[in-house]
Amino acid sequence: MTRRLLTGLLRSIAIFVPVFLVATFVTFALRALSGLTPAHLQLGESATPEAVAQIEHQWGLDRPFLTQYLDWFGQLLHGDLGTSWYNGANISRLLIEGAVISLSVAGLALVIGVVFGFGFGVLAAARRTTWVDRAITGFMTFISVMPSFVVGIALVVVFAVGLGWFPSAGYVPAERGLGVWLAHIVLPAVALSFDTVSDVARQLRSGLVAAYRENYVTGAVVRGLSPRRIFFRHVLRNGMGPALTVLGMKFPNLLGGAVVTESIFGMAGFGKFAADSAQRGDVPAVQGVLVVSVILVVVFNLLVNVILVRVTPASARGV
Amino acid sequence: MRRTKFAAAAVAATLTLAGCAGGAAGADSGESTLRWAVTLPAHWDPVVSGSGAQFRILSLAYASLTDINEKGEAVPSLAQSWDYNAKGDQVTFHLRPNLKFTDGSALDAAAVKAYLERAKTQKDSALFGDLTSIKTVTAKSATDVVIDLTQVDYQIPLLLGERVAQITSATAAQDAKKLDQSPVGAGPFVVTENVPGSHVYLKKNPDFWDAANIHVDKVELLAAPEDATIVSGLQTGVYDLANLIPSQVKAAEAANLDVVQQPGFNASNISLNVNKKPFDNPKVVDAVRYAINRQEFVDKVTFGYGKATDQPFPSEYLAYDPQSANKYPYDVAKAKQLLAESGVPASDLKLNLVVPAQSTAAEIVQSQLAAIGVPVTIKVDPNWATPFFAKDLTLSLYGTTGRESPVQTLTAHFGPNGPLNLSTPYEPEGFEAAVAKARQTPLDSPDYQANLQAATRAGLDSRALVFTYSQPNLFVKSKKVSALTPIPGQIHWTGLTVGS
Repeated sequence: MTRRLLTGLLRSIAIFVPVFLVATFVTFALRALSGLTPAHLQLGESATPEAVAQIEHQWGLDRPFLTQYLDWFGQLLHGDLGTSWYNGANISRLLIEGAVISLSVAGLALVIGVVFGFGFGVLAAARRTTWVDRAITGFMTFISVMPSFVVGIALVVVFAVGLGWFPSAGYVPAERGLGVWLAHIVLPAVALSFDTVSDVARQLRSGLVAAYRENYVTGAVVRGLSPRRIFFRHVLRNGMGPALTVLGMKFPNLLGGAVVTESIFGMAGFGKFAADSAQRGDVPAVQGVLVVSVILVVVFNLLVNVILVRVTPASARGV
Repeated sequence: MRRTKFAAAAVAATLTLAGCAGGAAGADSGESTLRWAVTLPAHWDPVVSGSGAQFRILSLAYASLTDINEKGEAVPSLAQSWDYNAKGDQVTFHLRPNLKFTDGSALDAAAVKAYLERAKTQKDSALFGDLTSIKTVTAKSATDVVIDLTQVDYQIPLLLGERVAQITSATAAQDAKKLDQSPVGAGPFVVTENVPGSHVYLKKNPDFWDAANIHVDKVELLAAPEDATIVSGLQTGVYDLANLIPSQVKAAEAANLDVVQQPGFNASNISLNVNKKPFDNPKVVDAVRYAINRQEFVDKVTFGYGKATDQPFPSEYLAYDPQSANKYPYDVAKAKQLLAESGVPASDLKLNLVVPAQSTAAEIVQSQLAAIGVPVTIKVDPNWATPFFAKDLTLSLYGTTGRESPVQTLTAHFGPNGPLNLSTPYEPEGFEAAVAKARQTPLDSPDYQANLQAATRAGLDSRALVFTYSQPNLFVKSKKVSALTPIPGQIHWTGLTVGS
């Protein structure tokens, strides 16, 4: 078990390092090619060519490309992502501040996704081919195609403006009170979770339905095992693989895909930061986002692999 | 089945929690707080910060040497008075006694001198271009600042207002990078927490010279959400004040919120480069002038809340020249005819309209020029500012927030070094003399407005700019925020109250 885990880890790192190098190198190259510079962000109407040259010199952008890249990489290894072109702030700090918000929302969205996704998936599989199953499947299809900005605005209109149950925007850190914190993240998390709920539910349903058709389930029924035992011991363990995999893929998506939700709810999260930085041409910030995203994707894939190996015995044999 | 029951219970629990939270979020121990949803300023050092809209926000933390009143006239602020020498090339500002920055250091003549010198010399200064009239600054006594000028210039009290002279602590400015993140001024408020991109919290500064008239205890600047949810944010009390885009005005009014049309100096233009083909041919420029239907901008960009203008200011402004009004009325036939007369081959008329972001205004320009036979391709370039201010573009768009000094607005647009003159060093004939005359006219002289309008008239000969529309600064506020004083282009914090 540990040995397999270790090999998996090493294999992931072996993939991660070159991907990371190429990705960062390409972003760096894009900056050089695009001619983006911090100067115009800073100078506005005073952006004369001389002033631009002066600021580029200040930022060390007139040095050779490779020197800049290696410098940046060296700092990165020390956990320093440099400063933003836009406001001169420390990028590592901004990313952490943003990630706390995004993790709150994405975390809750994930919880909602798991609870409702599994709930609906299991219910649909247990009542397969009945009207319950059809209703759930139909509903899942419906919510999976709802764009999150539509859902977000609808939630605001109903639950914030109409009923006054939740604040319509903003974020309050958990230190100021768990209730306030939760109240602020519920609506964005719900808006964000729709996709996860429907994907998990549909994957789980088909996984479970397939598992019910397996011979070992028929065998278990013949042996007179209770339906509950059959479900938990045989069907669920073997049928939830695809749903878990989807879930693993979802988390980085939830973080990155939160751009729309975060801007609707006025939250300064990771996704908003990424989008704003890209729009402003704040290259160091975009590179910081890239670094964190690559790490997140790899970590979550690893996590899911570990869980899969533990939960569904079959996956240990393959992959 | 049990899972769904559990899920339902979880939702119910969440809702209960949220219900409790509703009260906790709103209640604040008797202190009045203004929550302003806004695009947070990237820079907190006024020397580095670059646009009129940002100085509006920075005015929370910084006081300026002078202020303007509702008529746009210079009035005392940190300087309680000023006087010119007989010739008009030296002005002495008399500061209020015992002024203090929020770091405790003295705001005296030496601090003002240090600030102005920094604004002139700091490498990343966005203000040095505005300070060419200033030769030397001398601290004559603790409260007297003597400014020697390179030319006779009666605009200095207007110039050294919110946009150019928000005075920073000299001590804090020694580390300019740090100051840019954590402001140290002598304004009505002091920053207590700043998370770039997220929020900035400020509390009242008891040492502000006019602190007695500041009735708000705390200000929270919050990164503005999507335009579509700003109104609901105000409706539910998350924000008290926000900037508003014209398309949301109806929604805000329907939600029973106050829509404030704050007057401004704003004006938008089409910038042409007469040093490049085809605009080196005056007939082509004239064709463009006649091709523009300003009302379409007013209707589609400002949703009717703006006004057409053919000058770098709105029509009610004192520097607006009624004599030049409607000099080039919308006339497609004439435009086509001028274009035909120009003899410019069709291949030269294919133009790129380079803009920083996709905009309705760009599409309107495209369609109006297409109507006279000038095919325009819109190019969105996020790096637009570099070629624009380097004067490399042929055709572009710009919108100014305006300056307190009308002469400064004129030179910025029409002067040979004007940042908004895409055709530098081109300058319309007679502009230099006219603008010098306006500059040399004392602000209280009966000739001031006439000379100013003459300078505008001379400037409008420029073939480099076609002005289109002007839009007031739109804000939305909840009923508990008192009325904003209609100071053009600015928000003043004195007298403002926030009820509970």
